[in-house]
Amino acid sequence: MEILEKSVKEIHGLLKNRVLKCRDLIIQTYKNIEQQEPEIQSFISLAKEESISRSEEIDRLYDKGEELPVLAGIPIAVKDNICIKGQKTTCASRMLADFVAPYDATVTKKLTEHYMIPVGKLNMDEFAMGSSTENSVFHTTRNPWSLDCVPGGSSGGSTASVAAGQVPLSLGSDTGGSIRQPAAFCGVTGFKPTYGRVSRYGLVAFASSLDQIGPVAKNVEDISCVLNAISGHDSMDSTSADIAVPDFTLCLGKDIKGLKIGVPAELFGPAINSDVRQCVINGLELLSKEGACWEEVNMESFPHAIETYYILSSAEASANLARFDGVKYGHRYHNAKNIKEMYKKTRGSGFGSEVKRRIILGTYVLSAGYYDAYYAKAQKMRTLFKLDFAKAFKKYDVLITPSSPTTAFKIGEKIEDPLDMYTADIATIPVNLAGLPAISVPCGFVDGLPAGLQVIGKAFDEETVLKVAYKYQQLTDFHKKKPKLLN
Amino acid sequence: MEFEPVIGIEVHAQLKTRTKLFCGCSTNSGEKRNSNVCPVCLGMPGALPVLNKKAVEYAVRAGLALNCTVKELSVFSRKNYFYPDLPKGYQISQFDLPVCENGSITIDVDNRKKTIGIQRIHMEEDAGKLIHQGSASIAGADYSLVDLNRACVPLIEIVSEPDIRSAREARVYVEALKLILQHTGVCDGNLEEGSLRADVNISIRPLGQEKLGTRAEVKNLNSFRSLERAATVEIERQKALIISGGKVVQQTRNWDDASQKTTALRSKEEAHDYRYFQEPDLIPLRLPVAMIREIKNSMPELPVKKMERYKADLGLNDFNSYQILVDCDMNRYFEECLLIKEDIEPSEICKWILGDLNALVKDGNSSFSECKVTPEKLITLVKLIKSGKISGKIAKEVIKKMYETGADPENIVKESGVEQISDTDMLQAAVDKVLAANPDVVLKIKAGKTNSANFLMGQVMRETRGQAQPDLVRKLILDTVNKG
Amino acid sequence: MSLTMKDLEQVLSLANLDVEPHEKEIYLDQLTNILEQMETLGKLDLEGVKPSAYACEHSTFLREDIVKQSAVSLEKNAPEWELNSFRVPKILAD
Repeated sequence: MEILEKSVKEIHGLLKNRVLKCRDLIIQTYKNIEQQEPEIQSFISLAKEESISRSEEIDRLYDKGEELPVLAGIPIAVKDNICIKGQKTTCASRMLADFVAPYDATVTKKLTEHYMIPVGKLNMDEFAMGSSTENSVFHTTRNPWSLDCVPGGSSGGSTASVAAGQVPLSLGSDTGGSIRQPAAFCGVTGFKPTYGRVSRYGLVAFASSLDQIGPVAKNVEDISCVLNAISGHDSMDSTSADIAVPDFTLCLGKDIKGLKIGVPAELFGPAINSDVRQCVINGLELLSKEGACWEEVNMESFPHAIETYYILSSAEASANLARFDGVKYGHRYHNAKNIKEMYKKTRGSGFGSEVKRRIILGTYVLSAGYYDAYYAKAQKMRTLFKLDFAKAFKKYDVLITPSSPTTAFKIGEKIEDPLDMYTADIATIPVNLAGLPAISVPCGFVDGLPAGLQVIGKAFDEETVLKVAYKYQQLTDFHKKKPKLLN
Repeated sequence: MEFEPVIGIEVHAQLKTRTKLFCGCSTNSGEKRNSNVCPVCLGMPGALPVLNKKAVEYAVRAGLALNCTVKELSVFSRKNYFYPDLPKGYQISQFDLPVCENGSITIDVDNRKKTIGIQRIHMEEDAGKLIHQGSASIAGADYSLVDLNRACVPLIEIVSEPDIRSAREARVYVEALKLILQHTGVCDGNLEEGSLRADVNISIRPLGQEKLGTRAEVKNLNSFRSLERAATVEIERQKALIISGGKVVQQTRNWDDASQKTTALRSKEEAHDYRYFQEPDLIPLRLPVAMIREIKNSMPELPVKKMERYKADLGLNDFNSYQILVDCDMNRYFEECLLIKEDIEPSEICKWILGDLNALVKDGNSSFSECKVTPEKLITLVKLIKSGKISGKIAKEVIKKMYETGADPENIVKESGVEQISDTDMLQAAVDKVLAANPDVVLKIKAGKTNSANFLMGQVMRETRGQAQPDLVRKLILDTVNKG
Repeated sequence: MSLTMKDLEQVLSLANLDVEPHEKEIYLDQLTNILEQMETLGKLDLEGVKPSAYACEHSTFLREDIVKQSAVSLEKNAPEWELNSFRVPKILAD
């Protein structure tokens, strides 16, 4: 158990000095997974055999004294919407329950290049649509801090597995907060890079203009290590940016004297749980003691985050999910008399209710007669979000907000009321609309449940975000707290 | 009442790239079913499109050749509809911001010049192919098979303005487009094989009326002949319909070559609502001015310019200039000949290509690009004629052998002993012999009837088994008669 | 602009989704609520604001025209596979 609590750099040191065998590390990882899994249920599938044989290969390399990357031999779990060749990629959907990915996502290739070991695929809301991981066709993942609470979503498996000590690292995807909100709920650190920083090739698309893959870890330093490995331009993804990738660990530990922090007033109002708000304010005060200064800023677009986001993301999703038609792969309704019936019954029985709701909404807002009223308006609204951020970043280096308006809610509490569920993302959505980098770090506890603080940065300025978050974790120990678990 | 047809044409041209529009798969769709496919063109979950640079170049080239404005900014959109040959459930196509706009071409319709406007040219991906089982057509099929080799193959759609006023103009317009696309290397322009597809939108209105009538779109036109014929038939159908008090319905009609009729395709269950929106996976295409300029500078010679050059510089007549141009393969062959022709007259080369060689290629169901008579060998043959080594008549036999075996004309001439006799001494003997045997003819010539020499020439040619050089024989006959 | 059952059915047909009749009622209800919230955008004056379709627009990346064959096994994932093709039911309804 203890070994997985160490940082990536510490584990690397042990592996390199051969104090620890990679094989033992992986065996221990599966022990932890199997121990916690009956209660937490973070995973959809495991790749135990492949992982152990891979760990043996890596041991041989270490034995030979080869200079290996810092992440070599470290286990990582991957959200089940990222393709790993030869393994199931289900998106937690009946539609893809038996789909075996015939190719590797670019991030998967990068993990392999860094000799990392993908130990299994993580639970999520179906096609990443949701904020609680309750929309998985397989099972609901539970919050390690309180088993009757949700872990957040959609990357609930990614954050719960790290919080429960099953794995030291995981990958998630973030379209409207799907890494940061569950990171806040589970008391772990989760990062959404700038749109275009990490290739989306092989990430099953939800909303292409918003989706971004990012890491989940116990602390900022580990986040930086993974970010180093997965970032960079990819000739398979036209939206990936051809911008130099710095070493993200170099910015850590730098001081924050004179740092200017903007604090969006709209995310400190009545919509935010007052205790959560207080945790964040405490954090701001700690940072100001280190020489940063902060002030309120008005972000007038923010109150329209949900409308803008749900129109745009559902519209894109309605097209992205049209490929699931029962023709080439995945679930199919057999015995249909004709193609139209096959389509309707395949899709009707293959998608869960939240996915269908979004497809309906997305189809509606794009359809003739409604496009201008909804879709075109939302696109204009998106511009206003970008302008608000651009204006704020002329004055401030980062913005700080709560990651989520509340702490984790109870399983089943919001599942009947989609609109209520959507409000869980009000703090994270604006960041995706503008394509910015942002991190969620644990910033305290409310009734025993973790709260998260979000640091938002300028596009492609991940370094400042990481620097601030790292400083914050030097000043606090919330990220070191562990849930009381079985065994 | 007199009616005027109003016709607009949408032409889909397959771009001659090696790879598909958005992935590295080969565009060769003739291979085993579903063999040239990858996660991208199969619409696998998580796969993303990346635009082919060459396809962009070709689209711009086509635009420049058709006098369009090339847009520095153009955008791809998703056209959403379900069909089993469309793997992603949407087609990536340019919608409101196409790569080229506002062009035109001038066509020559039976010696009358006419300019047809080009509204736009946009890029899009092709769909896959359906193979219906249990019946030849979709209607009676029990089920269908999907082959995605063709999915994502790059196309441009060229949309004309409704400037066309007759079936004949429609045909000439598409012929002219084909020629331009072929000569710019953008498309191989094969209507029969579907690398060029024309959909013809036809409406009619009373002559003099401004307002357009309701149009029908005619599809499945696999040759220029059927295109012209289908347009004629559809115009007549609409006329008859209106005269009998009926109304033209907006619909898609299928041309059937066998019955020479257009028939309405089954109307879809629901009205189309393509829900176009900008493709978020592809950032808008920004074409730097320098890139457009570079494409402009490297443009192959357009057919119109080429024809002018053939007439002015090479002295070819109208007919031959066009004929030597219209088949791209043949034209390339001709151009290669011009490069090595030395002092040979272009019209002489043109004559051989359009005549004997073309006949041989056609009979052999072959093409000029795979012809064993290389341009070098053809030039050698023409030189043999010019230098008097062989006669034109013999050359016709030689080129046949060259076509069959690929042998050098010089070798064929040597081996078969058909070289022309230009040795004066040898010929003089034959002339003397013929003159001695025909004293009466000699007298006629002496009396000034030089035409009678033709008879004697024939005799000499027979003596020499056709190998004598005719001009020389004639000269020898006249000289000998006059001396004597 | 409230969503009617007819609108919903039209959308379900466009999106090819089969939904049980009782589910339709629930969807209609939920979507009506959602659209009501969405309509707050309708009240904003967005005249003259440019729409954004992208998070950020960097320069266009173009691929060279070089063939890259990738062997993908299709049969394993195909619901119905026949003669190296995906088999689908008849396209026209009876």
